Amino acid sequence: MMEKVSYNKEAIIELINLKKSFGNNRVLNDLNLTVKQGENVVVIGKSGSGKSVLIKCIIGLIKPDSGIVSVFGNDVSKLSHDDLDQMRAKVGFLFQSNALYDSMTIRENLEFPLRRHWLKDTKDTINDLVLDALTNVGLADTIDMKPSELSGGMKKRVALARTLILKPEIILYDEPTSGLDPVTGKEISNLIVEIQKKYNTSSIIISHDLSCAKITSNKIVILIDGTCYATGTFEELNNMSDKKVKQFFD
Amino acid sequence: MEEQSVKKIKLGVFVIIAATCLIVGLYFIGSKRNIFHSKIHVSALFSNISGLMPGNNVQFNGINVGTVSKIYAIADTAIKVEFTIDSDIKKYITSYAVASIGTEGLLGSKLVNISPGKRGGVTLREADVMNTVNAIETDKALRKLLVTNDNLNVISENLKTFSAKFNTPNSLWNLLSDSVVAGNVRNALVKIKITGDRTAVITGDLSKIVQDVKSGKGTMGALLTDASLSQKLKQTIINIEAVTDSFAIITGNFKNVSEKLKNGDGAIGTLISDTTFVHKLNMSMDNIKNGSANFNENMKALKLSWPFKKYFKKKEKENNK
Amino acid sequence: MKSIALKHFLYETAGIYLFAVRFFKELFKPRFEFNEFLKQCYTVGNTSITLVSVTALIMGLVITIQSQPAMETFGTESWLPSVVSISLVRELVPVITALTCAGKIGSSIGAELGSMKVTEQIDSMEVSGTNPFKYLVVTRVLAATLMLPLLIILGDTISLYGAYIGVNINQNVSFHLFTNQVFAKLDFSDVLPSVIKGLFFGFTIGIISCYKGYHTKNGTEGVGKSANSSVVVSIFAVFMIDLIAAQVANIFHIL
Repeated sequence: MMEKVSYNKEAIIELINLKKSFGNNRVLNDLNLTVKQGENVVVIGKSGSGKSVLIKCIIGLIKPDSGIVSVFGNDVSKLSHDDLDQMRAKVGFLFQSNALYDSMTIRENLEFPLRRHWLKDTKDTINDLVLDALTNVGLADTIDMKPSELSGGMKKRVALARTLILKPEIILYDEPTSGLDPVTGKEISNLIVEIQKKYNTSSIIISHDLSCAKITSNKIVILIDGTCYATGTFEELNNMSDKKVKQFFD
Repeated sequence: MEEQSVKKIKLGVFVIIAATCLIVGLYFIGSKRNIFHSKIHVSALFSNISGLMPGNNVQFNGINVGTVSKIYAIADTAIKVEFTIDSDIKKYITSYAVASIGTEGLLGSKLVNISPGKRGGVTLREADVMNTVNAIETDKALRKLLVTNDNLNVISENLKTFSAKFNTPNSLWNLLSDSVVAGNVRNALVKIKITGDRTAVITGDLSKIVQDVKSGKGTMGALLTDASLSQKLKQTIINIEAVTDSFAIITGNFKNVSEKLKNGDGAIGTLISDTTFVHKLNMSMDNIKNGSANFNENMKALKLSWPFKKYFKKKEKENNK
Repeated sequence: MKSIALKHFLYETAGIYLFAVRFFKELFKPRFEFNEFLKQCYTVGNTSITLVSVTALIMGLVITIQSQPAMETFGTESWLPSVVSISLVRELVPVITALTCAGKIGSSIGAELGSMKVTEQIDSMEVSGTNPFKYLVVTRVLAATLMLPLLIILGDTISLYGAYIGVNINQNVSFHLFTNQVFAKLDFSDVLPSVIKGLFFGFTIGIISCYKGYHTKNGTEGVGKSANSSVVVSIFAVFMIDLIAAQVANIFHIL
């Protein structure tokens, strides 16, 4: 039995009074955030403002000190190991560093999450899925290469393909455009929008790249000192006169 | 996938090679310890195993034929040693074979020695108990030697009184009056002479033995446990026993003779008429004196040599009481 | 300053201990990563063969050559194969093999897991529904534990061959006589403890290296540090275990 804690029927992810500190460093301080079905929320904040911690709390990699993390209406911190696994199967996570397994080929990288979740799949269907996912990101010919042979943008796209191969309902992007040139960054941003439309996913995108935020966001949250300082669409926030908000848009 | 299977094959080759090395090595070691041979289990009783341990070798005429498997005491003077013997070799070991405890080389580890013993007999079987030779008990031999010593003391005492009497003219005349005993005395004196000679030889032997024991001070332990040496020593002790036995007989004779002489039933006539005999008698008396002097000296030496010192001290104490 | 170092040392010790406890807990949980285990066995075992073989051969050779003059003075040259083989099998080969492996395996595991940690690959596995501890740590530790004894056996064999070459530099001993002399003095109590010791060496090297790699911090710099401390701590632990093993073996020898 999964305990339903959601207060908002539309919310697919809900964070309530989230607190997390590392030693004396308080990273998240009474953070509240709601993501609705089919919504792309971009979280903007300075380095070290706890953006990565925020999404790692959602996937259960980091346990918050207090507060509730609710995904699909289930309290993540109260899920059993197996339930957490099931939940994670529906949540994709694109790591900042791509987190491609260096020792494996691209094919094995993409097969990796598949084997875990659908052990009963035959070799052929797995192969088809891998090829499909790679074709989606336009890199079908790299299938037998190692990650080290790919460029930064290609790695990002392979990582995205790996995230998408499980057809997640939620995708968490950790700085998807960091370390990429503006052109490639734009490509990735467009890809994110495309994915949202194609699979009707809800996403949280951690970024400090405004151009990315502009393209991908339905809603922007500005994170300052561990709380949501301001919320709104790109235009709304851009027109705000608040000093602290302004510094992100200059 | 191709690369993966090649790696697996290589891994398999490595594992098999290493395992083979281990198995071959263990086999070689095991064959030394007779683990993979068919074998029989026999045992032997010893009163003292002088540090033998399970795992020590069992040798038959110098070749390794098994190992000691178990050692335990079954009585205050009986240690049971169980060991294995190769089935191949067991047909040469009969019920007459004798087990003893020896040493491998001069300083090596202990081992069980099996010597074939007499010809004939039944082949050794599973769970047989073998004959053994125990380490020599020096204490026992020494005690016998002491009895001899006491006897000798009495003899020399008697001889002293006898010669004293012999010197006084009165007794001489007494002796002269008896002619029957004279023949006896003559015979007796001939015997005395022979005995005296013998005593000299025996005491010579004894002194040699004592010398050996004395010089063996440092290596006493090795001496007593070493198989070949112990064999020799055993022979020596047997000799000593024989000597002391004959000594007892001789001294018994002596006692009789001197007793008779003390009674002095006039055989002196013969003595006086036969000057060559008197000369002989003198010589034999000298011999006896020398012999007993030698023996005393040896006994003194024996007293001083360390293994027996304690014993004599104890005895002295008892005498003082 | 000193108390901080001591605190850190105690913290690390407790961490490694808990890591080892977790290893045994996870070891018997279902879904054994057999393919990954074989892969790690290959990495730990096969890729170390050359290194271990060369080291062992030189070890056997050098020890024999060095012992020769001393044995000659006592007139016990004929004991050379026996004496050298016992010291090789009992002590030198296990320890030297463990040390070379601590260097090779320790650094590679420390660096690999360290870089996986800092590039979030370990987190990624967790998210992908794979227990990274089972997939990465258990397989590696198990591979090291099982491969090291095999490497030691191989090292023993090759070092004895080295000793054979060494003996034949100054004497003329046939291979048959050499093996006879060697096995005349070697016992199970020489070979088995060294193999068992190998298990412990492998386990310790694996656990320490995995711990160091798995708990890497501070990005790329941390990877270097992890690799470095994996090797240092592993080597230290190898000597400690050797010391303990010598005493334990001694106890059993007395018994």
